[in-house]
Amino acid sequence: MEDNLSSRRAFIAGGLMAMLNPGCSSGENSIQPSGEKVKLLSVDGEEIEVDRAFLKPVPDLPPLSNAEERVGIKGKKFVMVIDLARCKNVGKCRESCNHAHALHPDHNWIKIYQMQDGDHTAPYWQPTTCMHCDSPPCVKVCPVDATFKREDGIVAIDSDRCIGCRFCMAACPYTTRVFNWEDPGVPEPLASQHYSCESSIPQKKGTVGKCDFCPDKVRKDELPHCVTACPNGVFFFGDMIEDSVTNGTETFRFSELIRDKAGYRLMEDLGTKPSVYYLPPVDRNFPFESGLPSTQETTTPH
Amino acid sequence: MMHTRKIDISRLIAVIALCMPVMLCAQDSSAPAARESLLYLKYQLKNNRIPYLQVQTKSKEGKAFLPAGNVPVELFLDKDSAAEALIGKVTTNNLGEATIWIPGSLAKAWDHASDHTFYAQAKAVKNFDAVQASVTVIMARLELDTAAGSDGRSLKAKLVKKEGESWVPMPEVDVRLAVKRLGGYLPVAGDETYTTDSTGSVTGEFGLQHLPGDSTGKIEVVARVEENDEVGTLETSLLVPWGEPVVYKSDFNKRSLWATGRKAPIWLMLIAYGCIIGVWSTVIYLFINLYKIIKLRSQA
Amino acid sequence: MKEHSPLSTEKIISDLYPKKFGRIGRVWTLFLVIVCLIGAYAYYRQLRYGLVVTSLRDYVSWGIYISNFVFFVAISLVGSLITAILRLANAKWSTPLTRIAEMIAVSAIVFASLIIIVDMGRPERLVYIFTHTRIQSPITWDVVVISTYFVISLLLLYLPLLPDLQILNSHPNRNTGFLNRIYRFLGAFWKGTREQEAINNRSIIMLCILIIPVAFTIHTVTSWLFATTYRPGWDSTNFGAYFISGAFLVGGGAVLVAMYLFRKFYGLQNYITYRHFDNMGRVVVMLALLYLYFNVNEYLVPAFKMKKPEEHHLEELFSGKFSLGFWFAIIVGMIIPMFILMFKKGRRPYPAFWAGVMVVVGAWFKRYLIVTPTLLHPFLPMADVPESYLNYFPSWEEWAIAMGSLAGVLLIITLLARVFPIVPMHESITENDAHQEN
Repeated sequence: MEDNLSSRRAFIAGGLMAMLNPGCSSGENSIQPSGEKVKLLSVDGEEIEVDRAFLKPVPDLPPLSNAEERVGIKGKKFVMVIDLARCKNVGKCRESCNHAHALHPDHNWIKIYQMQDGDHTAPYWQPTTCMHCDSPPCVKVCPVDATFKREDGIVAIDSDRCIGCRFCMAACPYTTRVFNWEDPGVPEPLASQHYSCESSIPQKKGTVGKCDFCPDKVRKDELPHCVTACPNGVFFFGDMIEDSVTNGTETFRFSELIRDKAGYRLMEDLGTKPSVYYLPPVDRNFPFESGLPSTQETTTPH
Repeated sequence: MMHTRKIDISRLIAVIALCMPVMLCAQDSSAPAARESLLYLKYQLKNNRIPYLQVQTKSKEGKAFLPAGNVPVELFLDKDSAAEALIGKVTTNNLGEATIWIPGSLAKAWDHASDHTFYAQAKAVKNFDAVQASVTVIMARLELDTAAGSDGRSLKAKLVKKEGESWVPMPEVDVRLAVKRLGGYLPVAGDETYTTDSTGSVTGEFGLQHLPGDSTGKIEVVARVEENDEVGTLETSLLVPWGEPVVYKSDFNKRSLWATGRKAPIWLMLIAYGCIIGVWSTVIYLFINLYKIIKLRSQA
Repeated sequence: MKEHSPLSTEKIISDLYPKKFGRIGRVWTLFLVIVCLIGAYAYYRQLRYGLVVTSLRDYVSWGIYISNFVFFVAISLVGSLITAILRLANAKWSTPLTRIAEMIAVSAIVFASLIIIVDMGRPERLVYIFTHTRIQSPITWDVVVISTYFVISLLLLYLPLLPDLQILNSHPNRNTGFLNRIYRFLGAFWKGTREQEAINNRSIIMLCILIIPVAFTIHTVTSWLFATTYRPGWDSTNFGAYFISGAFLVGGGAVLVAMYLFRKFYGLQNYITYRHFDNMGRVVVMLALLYLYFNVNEYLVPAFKMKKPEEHHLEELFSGKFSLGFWFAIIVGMIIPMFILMFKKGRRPYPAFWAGVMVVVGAWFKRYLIVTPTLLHPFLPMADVPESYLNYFPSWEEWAIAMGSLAGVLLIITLLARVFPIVPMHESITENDAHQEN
């Protein structure tokens, strides 16, 4: 329909600014124009002006204040789905997370457990991140608000506030937190930069660390490091409000994925209300044995 | 639509991207035994308006591909390394990625040609050898619109490429029709794949029921041609009111045991502060008593 | 069993007057100072390199610093037991023991606070607990209660001391110049008038009443540092009462030890008599039975069910890696002392002293067994960690600091005993006069 087309075009033209921002799945994204315009070339050979703030990737996002980092990304509730049928203990998730966050060599924020629930039940590999619980026992016990629950569901850590009492580590039933017993050896220039609760860099001696769901990447409409690093597409990440999770290649409706594959959460009966769901290891892509260290090739000279 | 305000060229350098979707890996044969330096160049076009180039630098060590960060790369339009054809200089970030847009100043060189070749030259730095890559892209357009379908919700996309002065349809190209979600694209109809017919068009039914949208129920649908050898990556999006309106009411501001200190549950604050005040009032009273005793020192 | 023969006021004063250190006293003090200094050096290393100098790692993230903390908090409850509960129950025999109890309580609570600061990864940020308070956190509750208990114990040491200060101030020649200044600063205003005594006695009664709920709270809240988590061995509704009964027992044991040592080294045979050991011994038997009762509840009931997370934990305690410590703590820490003190002959000073020592040493191991084994039995397997993370034996720095803190407690008690009369002089005189009138 011609008039539909032209009204659509007008709509598009009017929404050009928002369209250029890939993180905008609705017209209500809160990117503010910076007022600074850049002259770019359009595909038709015309010079057009675009506000710098709408280009992707925004090269220098203004640093967030501590208060903003404590609130989080509004309107979203992050969730992760881990498909145990696809995991063969490759370990790239763990490796890329450690590298991206410049962790101490002894630390792993993602741990891959060799699980066997009962004597006669199937063994399987279970990569475990922080569960970002909705009723987080770690946050309840922190005396100084150094670990906190955000509006977008992420439980984050402020290493500039943490007093190192390690009560949160005792309280976490998933034993997902680690402690910087000594200086973690963060290389420059990361070591001197201002600590951000969203990148969790640089880690500091005497404070606690854990998986943070990579909010710095999510803000740029990118996926957490573990999701993109996994060669078997084990990790799915998304927003429960949008009802969608993706591993970068495949995207599913979260509600359908959980319903169809009987997703569950770890230690549901403790009442922690985790944000990480697991899909049971049925119809596996790989036999369990292929993940055992003796059968794996060492691929990385890390 | 020409805006001619003054701009600072040096600021543009980080932001111009025009590239073909063809990936060209340049291999340096003089690299030390196990290490190869790799440079990837990709072209993307969003909404038929702004094209950009994505640069990726990687190191191959043995069998592993590792991102190579902080590598300076120069990009050129249509000429290998002429200064007047310089699109810009970027340095890849820690993950080995960089994006660049094309500055408006190259409008003349762009010249409505039907195809362009982009050259990237990575400079030799520590742990990374000098490497080149190039990609040739035919200019194309991907149009997206709604169409009347069997239940009223359908999408139609059309892909055309430039041949001389005219636009010709591109048949036999895979197009994805999806809804833009966080970090990914949710297919509009399950496993369906769409390939352009002889007119370069695809039609797809929107099969997602009750999909959450924004607060007014709008969702962003997207047509994507991904990494096509001729035309690169094209993505065109459209806002349609085919979702469910969603307003997320979070528990963030509620009082709870895991909220911030100022949002503790009322019952807890009453009990805790009640006990503290009760005990400490007594302690203060005792100090007052001590003070009274001290004051009575003057009596015999 | 000897009844003390009637004494004169002068004799009482000269018996109970703070004495200068003899050779043993000086050697003892020097020894404690050296241990403290070694601990201080170890702490310097910890500040410089981080907590990595300990053997604590991600699984056993709480070790002997925390078990020492619990131990000290437990011992500090002795103040409320002897001074407050027995006094309110009109057990007049306990009067000579009240000052010893308060000295132990004050020193223990001081070092409880210090050892907690030592355990922190970022001690310089301690003030955040007050500026960014989260009232929901059991640590916040613990900080509040410990500070409160410290103030109350200090008052309960100080207020009954005022009449004694008057006596000390009236014998300036027997004190060094330095001590005279201290006595005058602390008590020159006390004249012993009826008004002053009335106010003071009222205050002491109020303190005795106040300290009991605060003491219960302090150890209950400390137990909640564990009971508010999900872990096997800690996830128990029994913990508050279990800890408090344990605290009273170890406090009672500590008093038996202190009674014997002070009696022996300060010649206090007329004041801390066989009757005191007899009565205190009976109290400790009762407390041991009570603690044993709570232990049975704490271990037998989960063992009956053997829920999966607890199965491994309990097996390690009963018959595995920790069984030696566990049975030592039960048998040597509770059962043998109980048997010793059940018999009249066992409630004499010397055997009672050893019973007390066994109670205290057993209690230290018990606290270690409450803290560490649970941490080695997490819900999820221990994986993707270095070898050193899989078990725990304290490093020399941890031992040095822990021993340093114990030495510190003993040092404060020793110094307090040097400065103030160990047995309240004024009350002894009053009771002696009342006794002579009968």
